[in-house]
Amino acid sequence: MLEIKDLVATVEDKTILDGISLTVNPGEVHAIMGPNGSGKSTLANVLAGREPYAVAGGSVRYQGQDLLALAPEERARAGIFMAFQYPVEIPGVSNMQFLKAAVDAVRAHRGLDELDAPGFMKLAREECKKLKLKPEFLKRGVNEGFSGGEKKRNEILQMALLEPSLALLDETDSGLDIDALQVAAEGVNALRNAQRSFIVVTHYQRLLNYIVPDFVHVLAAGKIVKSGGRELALELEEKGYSWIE
Amino acid sequence: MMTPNELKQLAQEAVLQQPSLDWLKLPPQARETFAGLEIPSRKTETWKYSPLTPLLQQDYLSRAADVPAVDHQARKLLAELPAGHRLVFVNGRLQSSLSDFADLENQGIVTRFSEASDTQRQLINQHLGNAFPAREHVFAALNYSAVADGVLIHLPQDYQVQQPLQLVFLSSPTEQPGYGQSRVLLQAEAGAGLHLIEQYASLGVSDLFHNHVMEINLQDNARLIHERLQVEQENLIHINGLHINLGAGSHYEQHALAFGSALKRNDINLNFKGGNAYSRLNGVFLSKHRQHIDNHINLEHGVPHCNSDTLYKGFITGHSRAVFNGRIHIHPHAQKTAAHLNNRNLLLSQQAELDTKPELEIYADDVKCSHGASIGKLDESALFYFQSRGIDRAAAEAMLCLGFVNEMVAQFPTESVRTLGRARLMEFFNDVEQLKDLWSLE
Repeated sequence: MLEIKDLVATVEDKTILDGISLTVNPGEVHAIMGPNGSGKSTLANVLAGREPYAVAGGSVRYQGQDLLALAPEERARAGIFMAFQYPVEIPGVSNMQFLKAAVDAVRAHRGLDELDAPGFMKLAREECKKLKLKPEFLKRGVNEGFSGGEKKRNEILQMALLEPSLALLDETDSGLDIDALQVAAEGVNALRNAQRSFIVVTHYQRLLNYIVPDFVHVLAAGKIVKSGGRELALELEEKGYSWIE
Repeated sequence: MMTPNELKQLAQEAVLQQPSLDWLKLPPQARETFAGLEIPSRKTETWKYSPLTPLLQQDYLSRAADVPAVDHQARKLLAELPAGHRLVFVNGRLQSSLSDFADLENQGIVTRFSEASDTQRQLINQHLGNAFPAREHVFAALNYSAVADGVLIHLPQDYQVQQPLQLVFLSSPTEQPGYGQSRVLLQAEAGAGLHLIEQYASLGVSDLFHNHVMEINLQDNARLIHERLQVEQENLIHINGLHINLGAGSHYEQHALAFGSALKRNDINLNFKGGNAYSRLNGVFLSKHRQHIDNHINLEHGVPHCNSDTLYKGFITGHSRAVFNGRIHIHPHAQKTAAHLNNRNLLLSQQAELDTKPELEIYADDVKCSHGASIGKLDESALFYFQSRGIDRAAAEAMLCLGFVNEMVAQFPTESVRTLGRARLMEFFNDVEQLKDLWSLE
């Protein structure tokens, strides 16, 4: 699915990722943990193709192709999805318009027919219901005036509709109370299957009580300093990050 | 190209030779004739960024624009509008055959100046020309220099007009460049209410100079909701003056969408005359190609305890040029005023130009005021958000542009006006294929 080798990424000549290697197989859930500034969010953003992060070395292969050669929209169409830590507010564009444009673009790439408007609305409403979002939610401007919980659930809603092969969750738990966290985690768990992989970036192990990972990697100063099973997250919770630094 | 004096001469010899209503007596301030006033130039502060070049290049003022028969085409266009009473003007002249306001005419609500009764003549003489100083509004002075006709809308005390009233100004192709002028006086007595939809549209390319003046007097506690679409083709010249007096407790709300043209100028001059009055001015203007659009807003807070909220957005691209000037003037006794004015712009081309100037002049010490202007490009983080969902960059840019404009259009109170505005917007953004079904999902 995904093979990262010796990845080095910089922003404004500052090295943020300093030789990351990571292999993710279909169906696996990898948690990336680490203190603030360790580079864990950068990893997700580099994989999604965000500027101004520049790749200075290493390679990333995704489903056999050179991921780094693809534009962000091409990565999305190829099945990569990033749930944003800070989803962007776009007043004047309704959530429904945004979702349909995204689903149309991804379906077209997969050789599927465009969904007609009523068909799409039905689908979107069903997914909203699962995430405990009211249907009016679709008529509002994208993330406009949404609460923190609504923004994160909107990310999960987009993920459900776009059906990615590899989902990158960038600090999905930040800013969420425990109820909102559970709803978001249930949304993610409902999408877990033998083909779909996840990279879950988080500062706290709390999220991993709900989204149980197969592997946990600890990042510090742009390097993976420790990898293990989910028990590693519990150990970190107990001892703090200073233990591995 | 003509000199300003030649322009005046031309007006004097041609369009101002029309017979004027013999009973009409304008107040001294409005009686200054076009010939006696100075034609704006680059040295005129309020016209600094809007040269009159397009007006001086053709003989617009040498003849009144002819009014060709436009029945079929016009009806097709009118069918897009909501049902209800309407006054339809072609090249500035009211066309009874296309209009539908007999009910209101019978009730004395809507009257042509030329058919006004003695009482109505009195009313017109009492109010016409009161809301603006002609010296500062030269084209309004031109408009009032030969008044052959006009429309009086008179709402008696506490009278509520149920359906929106529509004023539709169509420009139709003419043989030669011509001049069309129209004027409306809206007098709303205490407690009256009206919803007005004003639309300017084109039936084809025409060499028209349309000069329109509307004066609105809202007496105490009167209310007016005013939706305005200026979506004509880009060839014409349109100079528009809207002058409003607000009585105590009155409420004026405007939603406007305007496209640029060879020269388009919108003046809104709003005078607070009584306490606890409120105005909201929402507007969005767009210009592309070599269009020009100029928005001048002047809010005269002359009395205490009045509030105003003004938000104008501009979308400027191509080689076009846009101007925004918004002034809040708080007079010495206008304490407890809350006045806010903001102009936000998206400037998308290196060749386009925007001149924006929010002004705040405060002579009272207990007021809450703010003003601001911003000019920006499309937000990169928003573009990436779209791209990360599989939407290509061109479509993302287009959706963001439309979103910027739609944020204002979505606030138009009437659904069919929103639909119409969006249809015109789609034509404005006509090279953007991906946007076709965007609005159907709202």
